[in-house]
Amino acid sequence: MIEFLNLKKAFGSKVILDGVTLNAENGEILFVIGTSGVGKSVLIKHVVGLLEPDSGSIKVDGQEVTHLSEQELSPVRKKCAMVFQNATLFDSMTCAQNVALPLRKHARAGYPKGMPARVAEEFSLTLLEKVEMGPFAQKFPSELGDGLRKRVAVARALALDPKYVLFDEPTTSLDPVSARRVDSLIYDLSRKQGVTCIVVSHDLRSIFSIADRVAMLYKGKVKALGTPDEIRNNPDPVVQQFINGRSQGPLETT
Amino acid sequence: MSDEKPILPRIDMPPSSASLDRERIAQMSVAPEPPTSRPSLAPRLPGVAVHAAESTRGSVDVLTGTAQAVARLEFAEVLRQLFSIGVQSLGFISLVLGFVGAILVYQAGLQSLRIVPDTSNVGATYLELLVKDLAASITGLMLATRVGAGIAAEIGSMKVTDQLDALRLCNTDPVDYLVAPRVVASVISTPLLTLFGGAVAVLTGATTGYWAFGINPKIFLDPRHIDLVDIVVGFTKSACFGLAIPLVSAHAGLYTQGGSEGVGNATTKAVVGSSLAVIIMGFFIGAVGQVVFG
Repeated sequence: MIEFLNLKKAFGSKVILDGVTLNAENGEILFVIGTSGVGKSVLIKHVVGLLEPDSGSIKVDGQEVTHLSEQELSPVRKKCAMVFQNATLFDSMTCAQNVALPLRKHARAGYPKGMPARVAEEFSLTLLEKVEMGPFAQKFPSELGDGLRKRVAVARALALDPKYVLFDEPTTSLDPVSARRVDSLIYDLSRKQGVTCIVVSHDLRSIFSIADRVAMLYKGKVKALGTPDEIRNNPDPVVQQFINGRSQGPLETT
Repeated sequence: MSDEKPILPRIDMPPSSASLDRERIAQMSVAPEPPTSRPSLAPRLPGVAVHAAESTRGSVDVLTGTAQAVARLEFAEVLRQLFSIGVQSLGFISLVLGFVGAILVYQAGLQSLRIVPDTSNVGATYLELLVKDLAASITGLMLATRVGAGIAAEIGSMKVTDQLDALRLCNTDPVDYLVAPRVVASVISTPLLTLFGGAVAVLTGATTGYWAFGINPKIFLDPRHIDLVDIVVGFTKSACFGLAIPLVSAHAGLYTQGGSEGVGNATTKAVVGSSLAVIIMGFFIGAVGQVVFG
């Protein structure tokens, strides 16, 4: 379980998170929604130590992960993978090399210093096959479209059999077909492999098709939390304006 | 890389504090407020000095991280960088030093004829200048543009597209993976490029001397002004330039903020900073050589 407790974060004078308390239960798909700039990505970056909170606590399987050193974060990052908003593949590497990198660098059973490069690249082909990207293993990211790059990013995130995967706007910039394929990937991860998925998104179709629970961030706090049906029936006018995509209403954008 | 490996002090952050490091990265993601008016030059001067001091300190941090990373270098990546920095710069360096040599000898010959008039010393003086400074400095300045700009643009682009964060999640320190191989390759390549470019400059200089002033190549290629100290000073300069250029440029790349404009700014900073480092270091190494060895 990932637990956020009264998490606060400000950049300079701008308060982004103002006491977020939230849990992601094991095996569930938790969507974190909200307007652009509300702090959704900031929230999940705290889990893997890319940002450090001003105050508050984050626990992964009961272990406090705030204020850890880079070395101490290594096992946390091994079990919490992240798929960045723009896939964030390494341009100078082929798809296979991208997927192989975490295998080469993280210690794992039988390979205390990480897998040798050749073994890791062979193993990465299996992972690419899982996301139907096998034929593109030797292509460079610049040769692929957004949807395909995202799939490779998912394969890279799954390389170390993570218990948790954090998705930062996985369907943004994708065509509807690719977006639904990514949704399907996330759903399968949760249901078939028991992976806990925290998905930052404002793709309403994804939210109401695969989410187990939805948390809406607004003004640095959790404005609403519940199942998709509970969110849909939430009487709060801010929540209703957001999920119905209305331009007029009480919702203030940052 | 095992879990037990010592994690380097992060370079895109202040030294000796991982938590403070992450804080600074976070602050970098917030766009700075635009200036309300263009400040005049005078109030900006202290800012320039502060920037130079920060850049120097940052480059020293990168050096510290690189020194610790050398034991974990990936040989294949060093080879790739040797090809990129060394082999692919050969034509450019040769062309520049070849033309510089020809221009210099032609101008020196004209001045000699006007003053002495005798061109018999042009070759010996030119060779001394080339060995002590010119080959190393011109090579350094050219590498600052070609290699420095490339390093800053690549690392800067990776910074603004979150690739450096993705590297960290792959248990890979950006300094280990991106900076250390470039520094090692540059330190090896720069003296060799200087040697090769210098040889080309000797050749074009001698050819120019012969065709423009009828200087016999045997007289032109007179090494009487060159001693071991000159050679040591010249190679020390080139090795130091080879170290400074990737360090200054990598620092500029690691601190990139914003989007494509930020990458452009980082590239400019890298070229300006590397060029200044070459000129200033060249001056001091030459001065120390002069004071110590006479």
